[in-house]
Amino acid sequence: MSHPTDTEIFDEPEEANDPQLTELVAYLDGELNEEASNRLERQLAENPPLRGYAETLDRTWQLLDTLGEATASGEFTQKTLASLSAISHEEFVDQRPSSKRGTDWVRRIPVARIVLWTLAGFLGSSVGLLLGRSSQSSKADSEDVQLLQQLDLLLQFPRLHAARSATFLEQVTAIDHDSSEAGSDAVPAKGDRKP
Amino acid sequence: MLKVAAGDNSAFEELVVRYQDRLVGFFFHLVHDRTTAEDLAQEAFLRVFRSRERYEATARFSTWLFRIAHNLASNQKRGAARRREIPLASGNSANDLPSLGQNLAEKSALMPTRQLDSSELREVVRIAIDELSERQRTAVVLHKFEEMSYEEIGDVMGLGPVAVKSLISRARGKLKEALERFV
Repeated sequence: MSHPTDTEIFDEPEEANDPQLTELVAYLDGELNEEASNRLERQLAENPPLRGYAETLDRTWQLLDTLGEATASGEFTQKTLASLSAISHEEFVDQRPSSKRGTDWVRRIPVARIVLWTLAGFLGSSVGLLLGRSSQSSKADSEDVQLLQQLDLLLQFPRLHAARSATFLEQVTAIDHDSSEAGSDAVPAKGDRKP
Repeated sequence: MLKVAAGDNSAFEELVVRYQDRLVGFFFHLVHDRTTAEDLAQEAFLRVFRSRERYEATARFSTWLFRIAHNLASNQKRGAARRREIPLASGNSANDLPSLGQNLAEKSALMPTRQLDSSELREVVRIAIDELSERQRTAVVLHKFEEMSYEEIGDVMGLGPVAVKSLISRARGKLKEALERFV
């Protein structure tokens, strides 16, 4: 015996076997062709129990009319069309050019927005920090170069500090300059020593 | 429907107005609850709208509409069955919940002694329909209330004519067994 299917929850009617029931119901539903209908009508005329069975089938089917007809409520149309306009709007948004649609998800998803803003803040801070350090570093480098250029002058600072006047220093510088122009290699150029 | 597929949204309003009562009625006879029936009908219309570009005029629109409705009802039924499993599995005894068969038997036992009033008779018929399998119930509702032929029912449910014939004859046999004492 085959496994019962969902169409076999109840026992089959005892009064009529399955093919006979199928034909009878199809006849009542007007689904038989003319030849089959004529044959069944002859059987019904000759077989009162079968006729009684068919009448009961028909009457129980008519009982379903007691359920009546359900119709849509007054607001149904408006509610459905309102939902429809929401869908239309979604579709309109989806059909916009990809360049605009590409950023829409960011606005629609709050978490993505927060993450994006945090990343942007982090990147901004990092770039600012790097630029600041770079600027400080180049400033320090230029100060070092200046110090190196003035190293000779700084080494002589204790002696120069003891000079009595600026005029004296200018005279010494002029002498130094002259000797430099005369071709002396041993004396550094005057300009190099000037602050 | 072809107008709707071409982008004419006002044509869809006409479709809703024309078919809403039939669709709500179809769902109501399956679920016996007006609010749920309207929710399902609304969802069916929205699915139709979403699928409008896939509609082909090879089948009648009503067949296509009820095919969508049938799928929706089947999914809803499966979803409802899954939801029912949770409380039963968490400790409530299944014996505490009388089956529809018990309800019908109890009502049947009380009824023959007197004439049923219309609301009682309606309840008995409703229970008898609920006792059918899901496919039988759908076929019966489409045939009885939508007046669909076996061929149309087959198109909606994805069945051949022989299968529909068998399905409906079994359903009517069961309804006869359940209801013959009330006729």
